[in-house]
Amino acid sequence: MMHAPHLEEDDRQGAADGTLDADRMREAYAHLAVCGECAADVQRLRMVMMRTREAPVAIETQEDLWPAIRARIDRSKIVPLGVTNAANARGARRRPWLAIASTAIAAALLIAALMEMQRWRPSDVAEVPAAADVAFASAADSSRMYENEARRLLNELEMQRAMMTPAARASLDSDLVVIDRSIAELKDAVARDPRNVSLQRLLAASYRQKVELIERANNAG
Amino acid sequence: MDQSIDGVAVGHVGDGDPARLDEVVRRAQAGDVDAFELVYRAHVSAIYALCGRMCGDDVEAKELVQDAFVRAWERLRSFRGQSSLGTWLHRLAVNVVLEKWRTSKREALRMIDDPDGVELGASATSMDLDTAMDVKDATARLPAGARVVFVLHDIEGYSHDEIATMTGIAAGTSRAQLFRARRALARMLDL
Repeated sequence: MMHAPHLEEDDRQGAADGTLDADRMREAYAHLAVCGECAADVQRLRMVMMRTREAPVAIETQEDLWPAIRARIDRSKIVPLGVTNAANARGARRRPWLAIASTAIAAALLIAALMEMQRWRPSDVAEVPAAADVAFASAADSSRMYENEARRLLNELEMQRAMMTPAARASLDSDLVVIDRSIAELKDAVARDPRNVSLQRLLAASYRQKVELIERANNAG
Repeated sequence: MDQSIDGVAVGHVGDGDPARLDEVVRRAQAGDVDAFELVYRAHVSAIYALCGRMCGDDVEAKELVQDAFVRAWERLRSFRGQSSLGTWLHRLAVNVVLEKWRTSKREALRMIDDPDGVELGASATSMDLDTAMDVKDATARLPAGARVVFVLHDIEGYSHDEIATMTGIAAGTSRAQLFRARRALARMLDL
């Protein structure tokens, strides 16, 4: 009895792990039904996968790694903003232009803050309570929206970090620190003056800058 | 392992009461290192197993576990609970391993990108092949690139497209590495 040629490697592997599309799977199974050599080979590949999946998903470490981790956390006094202080320091030392760029971002934020203050202070005072409430709620909503978006994008970015060059990663982290620092300061200011619409708007603007920065990084990746 | 924060028992964080787990995570996110230790205790075995499988070296695996948990501490505020904490930590640990290799192991990355550039199973000596190895030893003996792809695909469940995104190699290269890894394992496991 004449058999069809043996299955190609792609089809054997695909038949073993079930990733062939329906048509190819049907053809592969038809061949496997009449070809002992291919059937045995596919079974061998399945055994590899089965043995692998039986391996324990968790293995106890013989040594307690926590003291070393705790020491690193304490030593670097890591602020959970997404980067380490040490990384920032290294980045700044290696790339003076980056420090300048970061400073420029901070300065731009400060100037924007002052302009916003100038622009909004009179109207804040003049606004009738209902309008002020609407403006405040709108600005607060914007802050929350951009904050949520920044978090979502940071999660996406986490996937891409491994693909970035160390220099690009350090540059991004450094810029994020500058913006996060501004956000932290503005949040403190909002906490002290929670009904200040201008501060809320500045906070929203800072979050928006963060979102745009992460989007640029994501797109570049 | 039952532990407590401020005298309040939190039980085993990995599979305990979800509300209690949320509270532990929330406190860790707020900067409570003791709460983060509970997170560590609950997940360290899984992360250690993952790092060990990916790098094939116990000493390096322990270093990577430390890096992964320090990174987790830095990024914990970005965890929002859309996935389980375990899944989030897994993905983060995978990235830590790949980043480490990207910066320190050009050879490993070359092998990821160039499946024809290595002979799979070459690191297993003829003596090793006389007797079947266990899965852990056999996986550790795979060339780095093939091992990473195999672990990510067949154990961690990532697709070739996801592996391509994470490692920077083409999806077709990932597929080729996987096939070669399985063949080498079949030989080393004496199947």
